[in-house]
Amino acid sequence: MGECPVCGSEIELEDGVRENEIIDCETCGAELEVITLNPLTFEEAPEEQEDWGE
Amino acid sequence: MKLLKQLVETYSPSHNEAKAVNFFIKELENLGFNANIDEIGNAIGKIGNGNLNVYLIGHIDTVPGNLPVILENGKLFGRGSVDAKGCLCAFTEAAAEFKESKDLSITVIGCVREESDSAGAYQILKDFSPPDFLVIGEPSGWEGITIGYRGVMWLTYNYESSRHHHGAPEPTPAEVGVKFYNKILNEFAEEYPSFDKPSLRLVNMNTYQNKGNVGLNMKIDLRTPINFDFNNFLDYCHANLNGATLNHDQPIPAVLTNKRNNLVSSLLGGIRSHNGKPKFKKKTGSADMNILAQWNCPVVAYGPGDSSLDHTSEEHISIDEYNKSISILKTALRKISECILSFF
Repeated sequence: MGECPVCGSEIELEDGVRENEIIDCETCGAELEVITLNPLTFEEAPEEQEDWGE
Repeated sequence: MKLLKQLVETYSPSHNEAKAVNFFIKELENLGFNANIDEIGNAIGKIGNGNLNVYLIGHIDTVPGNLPVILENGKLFGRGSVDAKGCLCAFTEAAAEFKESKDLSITVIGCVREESDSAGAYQILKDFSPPDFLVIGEPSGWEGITIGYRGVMWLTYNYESSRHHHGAPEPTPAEVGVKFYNKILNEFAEEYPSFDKPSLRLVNMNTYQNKGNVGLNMKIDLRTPINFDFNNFLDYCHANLNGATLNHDQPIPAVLTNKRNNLVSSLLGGIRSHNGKPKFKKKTGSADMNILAQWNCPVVAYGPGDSSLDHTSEEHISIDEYNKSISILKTALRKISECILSFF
């Protein structure tokens, strides 16, 4: 079990989830990145920035 | 680094890539790739012996405008250093480490004509099967992962009429064209480019005389968000032509990739393992990723460099960033190879 850094609710991962995968908190919907599996920790997923570029 | 400098020194604007392609093919072979040139001129190198197929697809052409190649204060200046020979060479140097891999088969491709009509990418789309993972070589910065590009459609407008005295009430072709452009601009476009909105650019407009007639040609660049209705746009344009003609290239839709896959997690892991702070980027421009996203496989664009320097006379890349991106790509490819058990 890990804790959502946004709403504090407990999160349990399905089997096979890897470090750095992006998941959603089922309680608050926040987009999270799995930082470590043991212990299970999360951060908010990296922000999306707009950028010029071809 | 030597590879990048030499490739940048080999000037290769769109449609004139052969010299750079021949040089690049020799370098691929020296690094252990099986290399060949396809019928349109793309450089293709394959390495590794695994069942998991990773394509690293960059482009070897540049916009026109040669620049002196200078290595100074840890920066390499020159046309294509950022857009996008830095990315292509980083792909090559990273993939070379997987020569003996039993998990990965990596294909590095330097496409031609990305800066013109993307004919190189269309050839790859036709000739190759979809990979398991696809990375497009475009500058995202070493901490950045590009997940989206806007769509694009180029339009060519022409209006011709008989000459009138300027004291007469009839509008000139230039006035007719400006009125048309402003109409579609007001109906569809936002003043400031953003990923979620369409925008228009009047790229050029030229008046001409043709016997007793006068005319106007305009080239218009339309950039579009996800799910933009090109047909609705064209219907509106055609309903407002008032005797003008309008031609357009094939519309290329916007792309916004799914972040929940092993490709994205492997790159995030690679960036974090180098103490980077990852960022996702959505670009207001367009790239070969728009075309190759049709494979519907996990795809992102990644590569060293600051894309605000694309196409400028100040184009340069930080050597430190270039080397860091190679190291991150190697880490990401190792992480991808670790997920082979979930595939087979």
